Amino acid sequence: MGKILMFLLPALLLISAGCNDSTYPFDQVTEGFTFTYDLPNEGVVDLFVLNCYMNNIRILLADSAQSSGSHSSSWDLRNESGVRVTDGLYYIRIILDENVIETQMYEVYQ
Amino acid sequence: MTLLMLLLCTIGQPSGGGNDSFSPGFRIGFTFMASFPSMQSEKDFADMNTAAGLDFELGSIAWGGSVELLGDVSEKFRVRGSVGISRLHGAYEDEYDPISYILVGIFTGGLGFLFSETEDVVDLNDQAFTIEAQAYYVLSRTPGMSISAGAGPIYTWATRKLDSPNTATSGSGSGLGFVASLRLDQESTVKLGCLPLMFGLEGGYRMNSVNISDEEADDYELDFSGPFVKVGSYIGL
Repeated sequence: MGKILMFLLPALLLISAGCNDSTYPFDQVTEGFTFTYDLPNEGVVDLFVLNCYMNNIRILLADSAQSSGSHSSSWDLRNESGVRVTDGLYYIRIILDENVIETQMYEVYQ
Repeated sequence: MTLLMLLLCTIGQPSGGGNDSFSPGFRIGFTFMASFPSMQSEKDFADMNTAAGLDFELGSIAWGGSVELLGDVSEKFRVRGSVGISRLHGAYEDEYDPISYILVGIFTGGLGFLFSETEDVVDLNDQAFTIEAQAYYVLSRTPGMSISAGAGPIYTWATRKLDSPNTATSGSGSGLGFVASLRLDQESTVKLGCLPLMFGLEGGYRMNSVNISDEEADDYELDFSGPFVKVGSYIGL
């Protein structure tokens, strides 16, 4: 029993210490949110939300002419059918003139 | 174990390793396998994560093993049945807070340092459980050694698990495929107790892709197809 605790204790302490969430290169969201993106030049913009199977589950913006610079949009965590998505990893793809210029990753959970 | 050995020796028909004469018989064996699956979906997924700013590391080799029953039914024909598992792993790792890691290490008298400095933040595990049945034609048989080529069906159950700090996504599916291979078997001069021991080396190609049936996956393909090589040891029964 003592030997088990000897190995469990450091493991549990490390888990409790955990990684620093702020260092994750993705945001963790529980409700709808607004995100920003930068366009290097003007053009036609599409915004898609993909699930972890790389399926397009929501079109946030389609064939929208936008100027260069910073823009924002929002996602209410719902799919194309209006149903809240299940917990998991989701990716927002910013497409300018049919080229993916940015991918943002979000961890969605209840 | 000793009783099992004695039982096997009593009822077994050890084949004549090193003898010119052929004798039918079955062997049971364990193999270690490395395969190089196509996994284009995983590569695309890894690329998408990389594009999102994660240093996502995807393995290129699926490691696995199997339990096999190998039988010489005649001098020219051989059959094999096996159940196996292989796994492809990918992950985005992050380091523990260094101060916490050091403090935990000191506080636990150094035991904390035995654990990895990193944890899998995004952890991808694709696993395939397979059942194979294969028939071989013996191309060459010399005392103690044989070369055979064969083919047969392979049935695959595949699962995909993707874990992140607060979520866990999983899906599964199954499908029928095909495997073809060339194998080299070498009788050992050493016996395991009274049982003949044989070593096998097999290389070939599998075609076994599986579509995940879950609604969200929308027929997402796990493609384990690709070349493989495996080594194993077998004991005669």
